[in-house]
Amino acid sequence: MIEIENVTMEYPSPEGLRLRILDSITANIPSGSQLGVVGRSGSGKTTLLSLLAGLEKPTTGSIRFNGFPVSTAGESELSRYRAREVGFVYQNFQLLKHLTAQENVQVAAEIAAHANPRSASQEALDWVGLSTRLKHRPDQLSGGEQQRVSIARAIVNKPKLLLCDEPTGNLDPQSADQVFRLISSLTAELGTTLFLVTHDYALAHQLAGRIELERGQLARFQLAAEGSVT
Amino acid sequence: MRSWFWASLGREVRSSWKSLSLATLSLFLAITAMTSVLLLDSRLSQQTQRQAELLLGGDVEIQDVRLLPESLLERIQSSDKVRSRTRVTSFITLLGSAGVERPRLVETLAIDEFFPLGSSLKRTPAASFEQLLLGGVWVEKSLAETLDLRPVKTPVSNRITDKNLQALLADKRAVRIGKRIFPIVSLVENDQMRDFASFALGARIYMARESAQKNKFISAQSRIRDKLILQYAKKTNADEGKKWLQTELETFGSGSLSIKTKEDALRNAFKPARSLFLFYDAIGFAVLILLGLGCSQGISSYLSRKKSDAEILNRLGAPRTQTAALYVGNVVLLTLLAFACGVWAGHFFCHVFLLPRLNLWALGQVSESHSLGQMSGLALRFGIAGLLLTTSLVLPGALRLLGEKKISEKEEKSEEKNFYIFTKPIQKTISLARSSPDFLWILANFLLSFVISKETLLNCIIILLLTLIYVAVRLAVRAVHRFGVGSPLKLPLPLRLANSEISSRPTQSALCLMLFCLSVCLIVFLLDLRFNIESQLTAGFNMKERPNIFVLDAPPENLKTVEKILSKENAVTVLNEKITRARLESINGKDSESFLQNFEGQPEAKQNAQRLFNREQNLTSRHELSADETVVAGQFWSKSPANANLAEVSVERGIAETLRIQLGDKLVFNIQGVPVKVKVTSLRVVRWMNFRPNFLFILHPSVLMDAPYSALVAAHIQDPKGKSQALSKLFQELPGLTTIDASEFSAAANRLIQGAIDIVRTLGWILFAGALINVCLTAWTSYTLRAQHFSLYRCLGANNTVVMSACVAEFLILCVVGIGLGLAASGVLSALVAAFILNADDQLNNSFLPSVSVAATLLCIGTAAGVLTATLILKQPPLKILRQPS
Repeated sequence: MIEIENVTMEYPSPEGLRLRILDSITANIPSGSQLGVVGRSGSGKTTLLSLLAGLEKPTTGSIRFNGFPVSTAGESELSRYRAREVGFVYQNFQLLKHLTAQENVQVAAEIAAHANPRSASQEALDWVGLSTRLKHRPDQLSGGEQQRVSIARAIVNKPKLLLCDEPTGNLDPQSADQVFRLISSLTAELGTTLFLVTHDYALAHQLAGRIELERGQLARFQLAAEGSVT
Repeated sequence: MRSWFWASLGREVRSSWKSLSLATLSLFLAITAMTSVLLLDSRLSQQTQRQAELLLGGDVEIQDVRLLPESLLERIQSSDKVRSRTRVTSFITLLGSAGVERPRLVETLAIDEFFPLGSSLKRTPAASFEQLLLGGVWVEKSLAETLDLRPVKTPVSNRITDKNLQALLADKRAVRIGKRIFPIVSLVENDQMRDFASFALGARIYMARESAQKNKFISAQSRIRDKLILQYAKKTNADEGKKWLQTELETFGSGSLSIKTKEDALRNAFKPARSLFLFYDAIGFAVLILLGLGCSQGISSYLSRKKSDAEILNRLGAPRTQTAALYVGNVVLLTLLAFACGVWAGHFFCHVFLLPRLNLWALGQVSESHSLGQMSGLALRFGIAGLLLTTSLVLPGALRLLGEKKISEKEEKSEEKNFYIFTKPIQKTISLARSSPDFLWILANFLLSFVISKETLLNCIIILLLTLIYVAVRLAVRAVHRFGVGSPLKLPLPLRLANSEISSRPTQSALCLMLFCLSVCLIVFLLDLRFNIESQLTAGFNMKERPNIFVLDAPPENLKTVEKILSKENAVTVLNEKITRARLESINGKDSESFLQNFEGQPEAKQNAQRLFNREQNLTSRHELSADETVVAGQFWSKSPANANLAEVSVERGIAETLRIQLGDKLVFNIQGVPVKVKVTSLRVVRWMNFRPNFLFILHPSVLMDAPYSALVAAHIQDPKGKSQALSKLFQELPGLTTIDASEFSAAANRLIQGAIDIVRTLGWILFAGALINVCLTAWTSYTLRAQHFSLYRCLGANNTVVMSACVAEFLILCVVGIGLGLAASGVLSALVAAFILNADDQLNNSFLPSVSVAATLLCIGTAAGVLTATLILKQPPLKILRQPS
């Protein structure tokens, strides 16, 4: 269960004012939910992901993940939380160009102090259908393949929370569809809670739940089972 | 459009000033170092040539130990091959002055009006040659100080009477030479005594040739050295002139006549100086290449980053040529500015700092003697160099900037299409140049070595060596990948991430490493060099015991008096060596003529062998070797001589090589008419840079027991007053002995060596500063990529400690490897310098403390760079960094 309680996030502006990015967000999300996060540019989608991953601390309010106080935990606890409980998929893949596909996945396993990072990375790449491209470097892979490597890296530690920041934004429609299906099927299989930020409303509609942000406020929050709106 | 362009250019320079100024500063330092070294080399080679001319006084010198035959002089005089001739005759006379009981022997020079060395003699007061013709003399300053002599108050006239002369003698303003009294018209300071070339004593008294002849100092019977110094006519070149003179001399058939050309004088006198200049040149070129490599990376990286900006401006309607000019233009301007400022600063640095360090004479007339032609040549060379360097620095980045982005899906993988108008091989070349700015810079330097420097071969070798090292370092950096992420080795996570980071930027990492390596190498080497030269100078003597008085040729009967005078002034007698004069008569039964007939080798080597064979040798005998000698072959006095009838001799290795002497060879010396047969049982290496007398031949003590000898006494007197008192007493009581005050030589040698070291040390510090700037530059240009990588690691769960440790480890690994390679390289360099410049057999002793201090400083700098970078990265939200374009 993810408990977001009255979370507000502010940044100082260059003019010395306070810019409110997120404004009093409250939501309770059961484990295993699949949510599409939509909203205009600057509505606070990426900031929400940062806060959920514990990369930034909210100005006010609190976030708890399965009882773990994400918003108040110390740096080392948060690092452990990110390494073991959270996976990230980015719009521009964020693969290390000098490493092979397998090594890119292995980095995440090594940081999480996995017992056998090599076999874990092979297994993860096998899940995403790239077992034949282990030794390829990012520049030898297509955009869709690169994003699949990125997904394999995100799930190599079997996280409880997968945060995807516009994962299909840089892909052609066909590859985007493949990647989306892969993410939703893998998270369903692993019971992982999914937050997928996208500008594509049609894609967001394919997921069971939806969070719609507008000028930092929660305009719409819908969970599949309940269909409730806050 | 024009106002748009200039406004954008201003904005661009303002927004990118940090990386651009670092690159410009790096190039500026490189050009400054190179220019100053080139100018230093140019000035000093001009000056050495001038000095060689001064040493010789003309194009060629004919010399004899007798008066030169009049018929030869007439033939030379009548020849149209010669423009001018000057005759200089040196002879030994007895000199007396007021208060000195017994006269002493001094070397005197009889000169003509156009005495060629006149300009190098500082005279106080600057009395004219007419004063010499009227019977005056110039006295060397140190001799005058010893005897408390001073110049006359009023100029000498032809009406001077004997009474006046007696009064001047009593007032110590005149000296007695032979039976005549000569007024002192000037005191002479011989600049050459302080030069690289001649630590020779030079003459002590100068008089007009006419005056010397009138007083019968020069005659066929007297012991003289007669020299004729010639300047060729314009149409006669040096080789032609030498051949003509050799033919002329052969017709006279005199064996003792010899020819010495300007080239001979230059070669013999300035060999160590030349090696030192080559060394400077090499360092300057290495600095230029390495700092330029950093700069080329910085510029290339800057222009690559500007590609997307240029595309945006193109889409907004800006002409392609103008957008290219906007980004390339400022780099070109800054590069040219750095080049111009670097040349100016190098010029200033050379004249204000470097030349005075070596010697003041180098600042003399030569620095202002560039003709218009020379200036134009210099300007052309620098112009070509500037164009070449700027092109090589800007071209790769400009090619990247001008590359057109592919937009079709099919061509997505091949990021850019370039220059479709060119044929495939040209396209490939352009592509190679674009992707390898470092190698393009090296190529430009290769071309530069033909334009700017006289030492083309040396520079090409340096370029080749540095390129090989650079390629090896780049390969090594790539190999570090094996110890990074995914490595089967269970290294700590920060170390694996650091290794991975190093291999992700092979060019920048290799560059950092090279710069660290070279600066460590040079600084440690220079510290070692300084330490070693100092220790060589003081080897065997501590500072207190370094001799400052030498008494030469003391006969055995005078030794007790010498020792008594010295001990009265609390002198520490450092040495009392017996010297026996002899001539080498034969080697393995072959006399000089038959030996030289069968001599194989270059004419120069043959000349050297002839010179060494014919000259009088100083022999000595010792039971044990001195601290400055090492036996390199054979045994220093065998315990049971195989042939008791044959005495043993130890030969210095250099002369053994010149005369082709080997172990077991039999030599015959003629000691005052008595032939002494000896067998070579050992070869020695002598460390010449000491203040001891060194000998080419050392005989077994049993051989010279009864041979006639004179002694060489070296002593140290701490108190300057006591030293001058001892010198005066020696002169008064034993005027026939030659005494030398060595303090001036020692101080001059120290000053020169210190100056030479100062120059190299300054170049080392320039390189060090350049290395730091380049490290900042590479850290700056790779910051975005590094920040993205570490932000990703943070998102993947790496905590702040891991990020900090990995960042620090990355810089530290480069530092440690750089330091290791640098120390190894300094060892190699010191061995090379020891062998080829200092002519020592062993490599320089490495001083531990300076190496550790330099290493520790660099490690601190590396750690600081790592901490600073990590702190900057950790300050920013990782997702924000990751959303930025790469």
